[in-house]
Amino acid sequence: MSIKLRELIRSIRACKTAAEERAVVARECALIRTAFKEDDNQFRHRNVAKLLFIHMMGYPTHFGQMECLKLIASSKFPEKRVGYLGLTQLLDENTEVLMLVTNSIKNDMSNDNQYVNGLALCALGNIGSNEMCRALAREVENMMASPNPYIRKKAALCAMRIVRKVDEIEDKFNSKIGNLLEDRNHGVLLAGCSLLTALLEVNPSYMKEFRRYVPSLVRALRNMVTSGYTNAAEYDIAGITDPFLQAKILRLLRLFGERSADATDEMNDILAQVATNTEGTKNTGNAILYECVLTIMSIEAESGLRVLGINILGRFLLSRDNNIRYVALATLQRVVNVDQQVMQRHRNTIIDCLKDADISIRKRALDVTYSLVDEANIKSMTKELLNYLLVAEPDFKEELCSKICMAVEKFSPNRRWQIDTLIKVMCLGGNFVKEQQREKFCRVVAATPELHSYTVIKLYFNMKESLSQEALVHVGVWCLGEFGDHLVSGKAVGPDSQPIHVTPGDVLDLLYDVVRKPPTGEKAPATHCLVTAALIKLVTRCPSEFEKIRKLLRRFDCSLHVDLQQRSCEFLELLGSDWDSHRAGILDRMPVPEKEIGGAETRVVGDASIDEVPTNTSKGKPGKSDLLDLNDLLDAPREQQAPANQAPPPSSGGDLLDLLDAAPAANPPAPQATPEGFLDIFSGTPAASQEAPPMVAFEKNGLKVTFFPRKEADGSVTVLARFANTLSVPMTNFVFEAAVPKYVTLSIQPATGQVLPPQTDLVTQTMSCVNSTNGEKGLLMKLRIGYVCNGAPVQEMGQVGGFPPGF
Amino acid sequence: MINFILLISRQGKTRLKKWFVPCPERDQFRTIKEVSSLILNRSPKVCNFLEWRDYKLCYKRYASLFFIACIEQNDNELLALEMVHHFVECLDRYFGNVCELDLIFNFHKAYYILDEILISGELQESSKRAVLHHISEQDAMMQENEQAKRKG
Repeated sequence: MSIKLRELIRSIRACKTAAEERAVVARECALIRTAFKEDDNQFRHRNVAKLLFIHMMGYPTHFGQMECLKLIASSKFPEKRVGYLGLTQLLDENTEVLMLVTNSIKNDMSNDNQYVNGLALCALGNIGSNEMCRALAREVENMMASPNPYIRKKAALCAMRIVRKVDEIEDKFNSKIGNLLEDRNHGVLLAGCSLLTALLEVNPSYMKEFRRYVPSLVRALRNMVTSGYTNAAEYDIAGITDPFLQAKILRLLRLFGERSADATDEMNDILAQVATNTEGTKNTGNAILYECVLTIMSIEAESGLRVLGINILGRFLLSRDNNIRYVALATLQRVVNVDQQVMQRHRNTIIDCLKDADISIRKRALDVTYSLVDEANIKSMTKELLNYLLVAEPDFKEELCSKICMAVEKFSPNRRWQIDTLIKVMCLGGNFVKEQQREKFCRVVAATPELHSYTVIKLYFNMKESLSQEALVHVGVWCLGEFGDHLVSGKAVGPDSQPIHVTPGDVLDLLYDVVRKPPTGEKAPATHCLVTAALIKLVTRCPSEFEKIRKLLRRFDCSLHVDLQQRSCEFLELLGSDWDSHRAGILDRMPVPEKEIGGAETRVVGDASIDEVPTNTSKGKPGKSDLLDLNDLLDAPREQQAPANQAPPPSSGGDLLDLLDAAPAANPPAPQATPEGFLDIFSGTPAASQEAPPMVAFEKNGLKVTFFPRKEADGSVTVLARFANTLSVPMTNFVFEAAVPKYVTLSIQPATGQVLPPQTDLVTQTMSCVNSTNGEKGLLMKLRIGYVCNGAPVQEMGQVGGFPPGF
Repeated sequence: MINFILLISRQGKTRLKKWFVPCPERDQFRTIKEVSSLILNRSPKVCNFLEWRDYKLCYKRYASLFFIACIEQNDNELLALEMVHHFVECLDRYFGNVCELDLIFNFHKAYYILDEILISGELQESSKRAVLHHISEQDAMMQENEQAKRKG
């Protein structure tokens, strides 16, 4: 015997334990299943209703799917209604049996009763699959012209679903839009706007065709905001007529007004009216103001209107209501590119939001803050972000660290500040700084010889303070190894003019501490690898500690970590007297990759002293023995002075150490190479530059490279290389590299593309060179060009002289 | 557009769930679990929006029930709250001072009302009067049928 839905719910609610509940449900499900199997017609809809309740509680109910289909096919309204409800709850558009219902829906669409039509349309609109949409599109189209608004609005929303689901028939309903937008019924109007929005989103090229409806939309909106509107009472919410329709129209106007000055002209007035007349004391009014501001900021609005929008935004931002502040920040994020000035004006408010108690607001504020950073405010903004890093929850820290690092890399005024800031980031959030960022830090340091001494001292003292931040320890250990000689030289002078005394013994003690207490237990082997590399490097930098180093290295020669063990064994071998004559060469400082030389020189170094007092850093003296000559630069980037058959590689494993593995010349120029830096900083005012005639630098196999050299006022030379492909097939993976003699500094920016389309010369690449002989020795370049043509890689070399005299 | 609507009691029980985008049953329940624990743990003082995956959850508490709407990145959060309120007012007028128990025992009716308000995640009717009118006419059709059955 079947119990009523109400009774079932009551008995489930009476259960005291989960087990009891499961038992009741299982029993009832068994009964329902039996009833289904016996094809019981009388109670089928009641059983499906019960099943729906059970389904909502999370129990499996798939066996009810077919019953829904049977109910829908019934002629009785109560059964149909439950059937359709079951259909939309128990099935979704990917359920296979759904296709079986298409015919029932089709029948119900032509039923005499509007509510039966309504049920069918609602089902199609909510779960209609691609096939169903396709099969029923014609019926939907007819129903959109029904005299009954109840049918029209539902049909229009079904049309919207069809447009979203089926590509080929998206234009089927275009002719109906006009009538929908002129409809007096708000439901139909709403549905019409939704349909039009979907159409425009699916295919923006319809913009032109539908542009003519802007006046209708404006009129509908004006009617609603004018007092004395006939339907006002029916649609009133908190004193505002149909906020839903208003917002929908505002959103549509936004689509039309974007990048169209004409369309914008038609809506300026009404937007101003909405922005001034809508009362912003309640959520309803604010919802409309929010939509309106978004529209104003997106279209080509006149300045007066824009000010109006900005003022509303400012008011939102200062609101005490968290919801309003949230949407204000969300809006700022979206208009950041439109109006940087507004953003900057609200900077302090935004930064305050970083300290809000609400995570939603903090998150929004943080996103806005990132986009606020520029050259002018990098220092103050970084300070704020570092403050925030101190208190942020762990979830935020990783992103925060990498965002700060990126901003610093992009906008830092000089190297010294950049290094200082990055060290701070690592001191505060060192466990969240990614490998990649640590590596970048090391490159920056390596490429700035003036600051070697400064950096290593600073890192040393920071590490003495705390060894808890992994990134700090890792880069610190690396720097101690590379530049330990600066630390123990005693030449560095502190702020009080006292020389800084660090003995080789102190350095080793510190490394010993790192070995004993690595910052993160699970990554100890990585830390130890770095320490061993630092130790071996210190052999030449602190010869007095030879024995201590050997002893420390011994700790690892039985390590269970294979890499670490191998490394320490190799290093111990290197300490043997056989290697006495070669050791210094092997353990020399790591050469800086070519691309970094370019990148580093483009930014001023900044003060290299340790807080005010200058140190003895004679430029060029330390580091990198001789720069490799022209040919080596391209051909043998990795080979060092080490003799052939060298058993232990001077540095293996460990990402930080393998800076070199990114073979300098074999990579396309680093994308982060700063574009203008060098020139701007030194020249200041743009002075007349001297243009030389274009010259063909390279021509072979259908590839032609033309140089357009230009001598800048400050003496540097900018060369624009234009790559022409005269073949009828594209060249892909195109990489262009250049090397210059020692007396020239070169920085290359990324090419504008990696593919040269056939018969074009669209791709260019800019290089800037500084000739330190002031043109006494002519500019020379060696080229290496690589690309793939017809699937075959091509590698070419070339040499370019013949620059005009004085270049 | 609204991706899904949920009604969750303070104890974390689902009172209504409606998806407008295809979502397998298993994922639905997983989502319900995740979303309700996120929202039930939020302090009442913070804002009514929560970023979740690529979407935004807009929720509001009415008595013992949380009404949650999941909308897309570019949708108007304030308007979503307004839609939720629209739904709540329709329920309130239909049941006459609606309470959680009404929605438990008449959960199907809550769905019927929702179906008159939203289709495919978009609002179809902004007049409460119209919604209630259509619902009551359909309820009348149900009764006629029941009576006919009893007589027959």
